[in-house]
Amino acid sequence: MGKGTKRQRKAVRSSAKNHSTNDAFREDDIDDEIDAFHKQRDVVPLDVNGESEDEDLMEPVFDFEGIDEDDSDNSRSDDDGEESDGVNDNIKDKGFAAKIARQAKYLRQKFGGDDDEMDDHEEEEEEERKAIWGRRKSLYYNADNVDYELQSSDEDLPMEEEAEVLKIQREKAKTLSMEDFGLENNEQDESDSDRQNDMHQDALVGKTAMGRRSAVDDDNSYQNYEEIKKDFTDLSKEEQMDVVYSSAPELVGLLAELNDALDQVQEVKSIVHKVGETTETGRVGMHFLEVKQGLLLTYCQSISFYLLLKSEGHPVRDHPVIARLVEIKNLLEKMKQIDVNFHPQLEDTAINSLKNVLTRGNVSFEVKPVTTGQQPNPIKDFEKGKSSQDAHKTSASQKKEDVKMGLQSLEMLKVRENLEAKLKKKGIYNLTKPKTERVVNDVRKAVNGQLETLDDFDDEIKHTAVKNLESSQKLSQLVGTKANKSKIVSGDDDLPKRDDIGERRRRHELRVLARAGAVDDSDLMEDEDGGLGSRSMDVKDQDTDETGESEDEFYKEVKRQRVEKLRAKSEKYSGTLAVPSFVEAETDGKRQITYQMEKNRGLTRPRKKLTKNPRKKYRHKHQKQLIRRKGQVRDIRKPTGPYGGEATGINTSVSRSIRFKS
Amino acid sequence: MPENKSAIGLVWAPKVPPLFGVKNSSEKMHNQTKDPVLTPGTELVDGLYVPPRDPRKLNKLLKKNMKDTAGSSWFDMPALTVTPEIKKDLEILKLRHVIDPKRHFKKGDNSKAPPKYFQVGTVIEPASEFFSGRLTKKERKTTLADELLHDDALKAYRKRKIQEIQESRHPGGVEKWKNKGRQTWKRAKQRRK
Amino acid sequence: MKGGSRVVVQPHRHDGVFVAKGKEDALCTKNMVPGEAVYGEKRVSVQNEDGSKVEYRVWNPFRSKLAAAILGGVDNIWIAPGTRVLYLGAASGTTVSHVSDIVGPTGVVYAVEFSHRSGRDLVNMAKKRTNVIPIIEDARHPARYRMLVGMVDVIFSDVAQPDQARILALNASYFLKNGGHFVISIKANCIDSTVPAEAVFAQEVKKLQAEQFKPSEQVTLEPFERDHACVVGGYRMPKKQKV
Repeated sequence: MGKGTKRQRKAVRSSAKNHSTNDAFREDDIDDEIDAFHKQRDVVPLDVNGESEDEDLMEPVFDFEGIDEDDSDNSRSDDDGEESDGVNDNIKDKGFAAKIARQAKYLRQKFGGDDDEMDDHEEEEEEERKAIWGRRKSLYYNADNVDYELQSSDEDLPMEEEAEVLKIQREKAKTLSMEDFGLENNEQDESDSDRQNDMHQDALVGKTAMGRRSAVDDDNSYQNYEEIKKDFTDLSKEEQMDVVYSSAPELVGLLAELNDALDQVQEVKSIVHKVGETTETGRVGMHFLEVKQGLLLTYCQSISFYLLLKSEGHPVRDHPVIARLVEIKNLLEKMKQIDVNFHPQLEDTAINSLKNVLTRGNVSFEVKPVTTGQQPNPIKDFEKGKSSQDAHKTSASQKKEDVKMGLQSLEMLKVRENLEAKLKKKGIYNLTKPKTERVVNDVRKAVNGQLETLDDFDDEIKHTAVKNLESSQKLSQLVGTKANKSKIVSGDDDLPKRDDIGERRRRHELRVLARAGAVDDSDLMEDEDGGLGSRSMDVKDQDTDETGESEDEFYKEVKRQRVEKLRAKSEKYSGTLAVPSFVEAETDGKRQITYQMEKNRGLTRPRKKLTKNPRKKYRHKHQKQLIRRKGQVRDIRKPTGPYGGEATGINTSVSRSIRFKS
Repeated sequence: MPENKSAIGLVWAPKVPPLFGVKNSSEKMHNQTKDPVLTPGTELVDGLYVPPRDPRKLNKLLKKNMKDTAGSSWFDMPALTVTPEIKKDLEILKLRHVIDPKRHFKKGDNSKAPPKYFQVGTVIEPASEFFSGRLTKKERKTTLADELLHDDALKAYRKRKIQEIQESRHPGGVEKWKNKGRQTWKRAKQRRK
Repeated sequence: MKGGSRVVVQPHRHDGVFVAKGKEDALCTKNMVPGEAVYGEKRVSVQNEDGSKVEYRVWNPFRSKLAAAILGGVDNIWIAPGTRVLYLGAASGTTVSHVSDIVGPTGVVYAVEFSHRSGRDLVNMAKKRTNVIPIIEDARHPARYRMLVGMVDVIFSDVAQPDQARILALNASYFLKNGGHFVISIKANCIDSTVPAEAVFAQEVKKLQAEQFKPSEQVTLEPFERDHACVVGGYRMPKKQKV
């Protein structure tokens, strides 16, 4: 409800200045988050454009940031006083939380699965992946049959690996959206062309960031980006904004949040200082405040890291830092809920202490909005005015603060570095390593930072950020498990790995060819398919990776395929060669046992079929003898009718009587 | 000498002139008259026939005049003069095993020559077999061959056999019309259609 | 062989025996009394070239054991035209008639038959055949008819008695000339039905050998008679002849 009214108010105000965006803002109330964000995208360029021309055009952004500032104020006021702003803060926080959630959702939608790391669905996916891969390597490689595993030929392993990788990449490809490709293409193109262009891109990103920051607060981050400002003038505003929105639409919101967080950190810090100095009564809330401070600091650090990444032109989409951001955001939400409970207790102590120690106007200003936080607009306006006024007044102090902040953020970065290193040691987080290293290098401005091991940073971090370690560790652990997924996506690092797969596959195929002598057409087709698949994979990789190596790989692949095809063809048309080889392949397997083996009759003499059965044998014998008997003793012939002579004739010359010897 | 000549009218002796005078010639003449044994047997003594004294010649003469029979053991069965009909009958008897395909005969004497002593007779049935074992007057033929030719039971088989033999021995027909297997002219013509 | 069919009559291997050949073959003997059948047998009438008529009688082996023996392939029957034959057990005189045909007008057949009934037929037959002398007497007592019977060349015995060997020996001792021959038909059942026929035949042969007989051959009358055998041999055969 609150956000609705707020929006409307915002819209009304913006409509007064900008007629073109008027309708969009009205519709924003009705439409869902995606549309809202799209309209925001529409708004922001105008904002950026109008930044130099018209102060009022900044208002919506300021409005947006005002809330952020309020939030940061709240967090700090929690630290310091928490007298009046508790309830209002909560309300605002709710609105803010919703907004962040919306943004997160939007990001998720925009960047597909990569930004969905926080999501439940994503978690489920993660679970599935775990189910596929297993939790531990030992489960698979150190099973009962380790020896067997070791002994077993690695012919099938590359195959399995390849299949698995292909599967994963296919899933990845599903999750990718068009915008991702567009975004990456831009970057890819930049990286493709040459280093100058890359620099130009960086400059662009930096420019946009500069633009935003200059619009938000003139002094804060001015120095950081001063050196890049040369390029800023090269492009027109529209181009700059286009680049910004095409590359990172969430950038604007994050910038605003960074500002808020910085403010809050300052406030909380001051409150903590004062409370810690003055009274020991506020001990109850102190721990909470410290945690909050740490959270905010982490938040700032991660945002700045994000910005750093952006400025360097790295792909941030699948980077764990975004997940981290969202997570911290959620935690901040929770903190705000606790704030509500804390408020009455802290009210007395903090306000009292604050009253005693009212050195800075900032704090007093901040307390006010907490007390009268139910109407944010006047506060924002006021703060706007204040900030613009303070820009000159407290420029020196601000600078000091900035220096402090820079140190803190550096420390936080180190902490992150440490955590990531730890995760990497575990083998989960290895792919984000180079980027973080690069970040570290940038921060430290060390050219040979790549050579430094991660352990080097460990010592520095251990004593500096023990407090934040607990929360951040948890977070990083949470994120880290999810970051496991990003290992496959991230561009440069998995290139050598893919090379490995290609190499292995080629070796495996060569081995197979050598063994079989000839590969069937079907196999070849499969190979080709595999090759195509790998080629497509390569193409995909080309988007993300540096093209030099991948192109080489691609050409090698194509060459290899061609050679294989030619060989297959020659085998096919030679014919005579193919047949014996095929026969060999056949005979390579188990031979058929012979009939003799199958029967296994040993040394038995062959028997005639008729005489095999004794009964039958005797029967036949008897029949034979009867026939012989007919020749010896003729049957008795009965006289039939009158005697008509011998039918068979009379042989007169025959004498066959039995003669008696004497 | 004329007396002598007349007396011995049938005797002819070449008149050879004596080589050594009269003496020799007288001696020779004496010798010739002296030898009466040398006179042939056909000599009529006083105009009468005298059978030859040699028993061999006598036996030969006797045999010539004797009737040819099988002998007293078989009651003087005479040898029959073989007419063509009788010859046919004897051949039929020899080849009787081919008359009826259903009947088998013992092997007879395998002498190729026809029997010398035999008689051809007619069976006379006893009174008891007047109806059962008797040929009618129509069925009765003069020769064995005629009997067989008029035997209806064997007609079909005989005809068939004769047909086969005739076909196998028949030389007639146009040579190119005969079917001699696959590659004949006739078949080629049929193939051409 | 139906009445009216033409046959060719040829002499058989044995003397006085003929074979009539047509579609079937049959043994024949020259009928001593042309135009008359003895027991309703077929006859073959032959017209000679010189116009004389000869008649042959078909010899039925089912009724005559001698015919059966001839068809069975006996080597020699010793009965030929002109021989004197003592026929013991003449019965109705069927075989006797054929034997009389064989011996012809020059031979004599003494037919001894004890049974008066069959003897009547025998006598009737003998009335027409001049060479047959019927004797109605017991063959066991040859002395009773010794005045009637002279010396004979051949004794044919078909008495079918267990002591037929003895009877034969007795008659032979009376009437058979030295070096004469005998033909005896043995019915195994009559002598000993408990032993096989061959054993009986061998036994009889032994008996005959004991009685100065010299059996030379034996033939079974198989398709025509069951368990019958014909034994042919000589009597008091001179040694010199043998050598």
